[in-house]
Amino acid sequence: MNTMLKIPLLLALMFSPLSQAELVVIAHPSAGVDRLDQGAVKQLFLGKMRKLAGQKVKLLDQVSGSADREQFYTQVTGKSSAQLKSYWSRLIFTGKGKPPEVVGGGAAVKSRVATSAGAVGYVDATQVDDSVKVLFRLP
Amino acid sequence: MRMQGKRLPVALLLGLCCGAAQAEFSLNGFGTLGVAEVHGDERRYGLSGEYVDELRTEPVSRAGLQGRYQFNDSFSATGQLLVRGERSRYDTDVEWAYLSYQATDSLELRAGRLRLPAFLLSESLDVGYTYPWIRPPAEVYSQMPISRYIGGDLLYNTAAGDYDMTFQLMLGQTDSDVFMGGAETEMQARDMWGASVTLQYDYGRVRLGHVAANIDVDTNFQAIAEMPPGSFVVGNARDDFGLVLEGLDGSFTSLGYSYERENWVSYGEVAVRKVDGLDFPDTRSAFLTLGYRVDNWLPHLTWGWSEVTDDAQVNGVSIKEGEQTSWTLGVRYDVQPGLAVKAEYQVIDADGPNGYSSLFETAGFPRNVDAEIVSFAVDFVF
Repeated sequence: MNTMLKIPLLLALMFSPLSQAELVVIAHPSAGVDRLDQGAVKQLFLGKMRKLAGQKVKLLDQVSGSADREQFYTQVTGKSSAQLKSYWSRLIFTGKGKPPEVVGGGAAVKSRVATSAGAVGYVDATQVDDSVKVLFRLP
Repeated sequence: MRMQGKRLPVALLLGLCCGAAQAEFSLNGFGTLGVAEVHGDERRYGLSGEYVDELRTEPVSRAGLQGRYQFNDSFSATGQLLVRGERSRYDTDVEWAYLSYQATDSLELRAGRLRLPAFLLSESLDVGYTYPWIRPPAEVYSQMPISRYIGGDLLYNTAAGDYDMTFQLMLGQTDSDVFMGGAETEMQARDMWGASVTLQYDYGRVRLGHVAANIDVDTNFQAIAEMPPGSFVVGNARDDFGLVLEGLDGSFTSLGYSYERENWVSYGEVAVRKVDGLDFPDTRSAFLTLGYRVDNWLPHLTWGWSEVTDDAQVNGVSIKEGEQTSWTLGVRYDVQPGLAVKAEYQVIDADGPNGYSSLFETAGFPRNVDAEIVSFAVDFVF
């Protein structure tokens, strides 16, 4: 009986979204907005929206290949890493935009967001504390 | 409360200081390294005759380095150095060199050496990594040999939700060394103006553009003097191997789109070229590409077509309705972000009164030419 119960439990654990982190978009506490919807987050991180409440946004990114980064862009933009690279290459080489600055892992992103006005990034929800403001929770 | 009181001046100070401290430099590069060869009824193909009947790197290889210096929120300077393969050699040029002024959130003014906004893909023409093919379809993309100009433009951008609309207006002139029909050509364009509108959506974009200019052409056919006499001399022959045309009014109009949704990728463009007189052919051209992405693989199929629409003469023979059609089967494999490998097989069929209406260098006319091109390339960006 016990083992019978354990197997589904184990399966549930294996296939539960354990590997899927709960990601949040964070901003410096001085940000002029409190909430963003997914559409706005997408426009921000594709470089189409450059200001929030009149303030210039400084986008921060996690390192290429990190699990959080893959998950964030897949969920928010629906684009793969290669597609995004191609998208940004077109903007860079036509002088029309610049991709978010890569600052490291979640911890590095959080500390930069906490200390620079206008900064916006995404981190694992568990890394959030009072030093930053949460603008959006990924579904 | 005390914290808040302190934070405000600090934020203000940051805001002030960073206007000056925001200056930053960024350097990016791109390149395509590959080989290609043509086999069939003729032994040379391409605007500069860069494709020959043995594997060569010139037809498909190029590399660029781009630097951008952002002085502050409004001003930036951009320069791009490009090395590009052409007929039997490589050529290095400054492709972009301009100053940009972001006047408002939606208005940007640029001045200097800029890319001529003739095609859907004009501004990223050499960045192979940004599109599926090794080179954009030649039937359309060889119709305008000028790639850049000196002058200025105005870009006005307006967004509504997921839609994004950009208007562009340019004025300028150019003195370019280009290739036409395999021959080195000095092309001057004066009183050049252009306008375009691009509608962008999440899944792609549609662009309509028009450029017009008054052009002078001075062609030197010495470069292909090894060809049989009289085979490729157009217009008023000079020194048996030249062509001089002056003060021709010309225009180029293009309508194109790109689309990418889920696994489907598609591109298409139609273009019309009109030039005064019968020495410089008027043309219509089009291409259509359809691709389907499977993981990191993107197989794609392209149809390309161009046709001479006026009574243009080559050595006194009309080349009206001379046309070129091609089919290209290609595949792109994304190795990792920033690196892609591509292979293509193309079948080309040129029909009509004279080879001049195609991209082949033909030794006689009337002539129908069939040929195939095989290309491989690696694209990278950093």
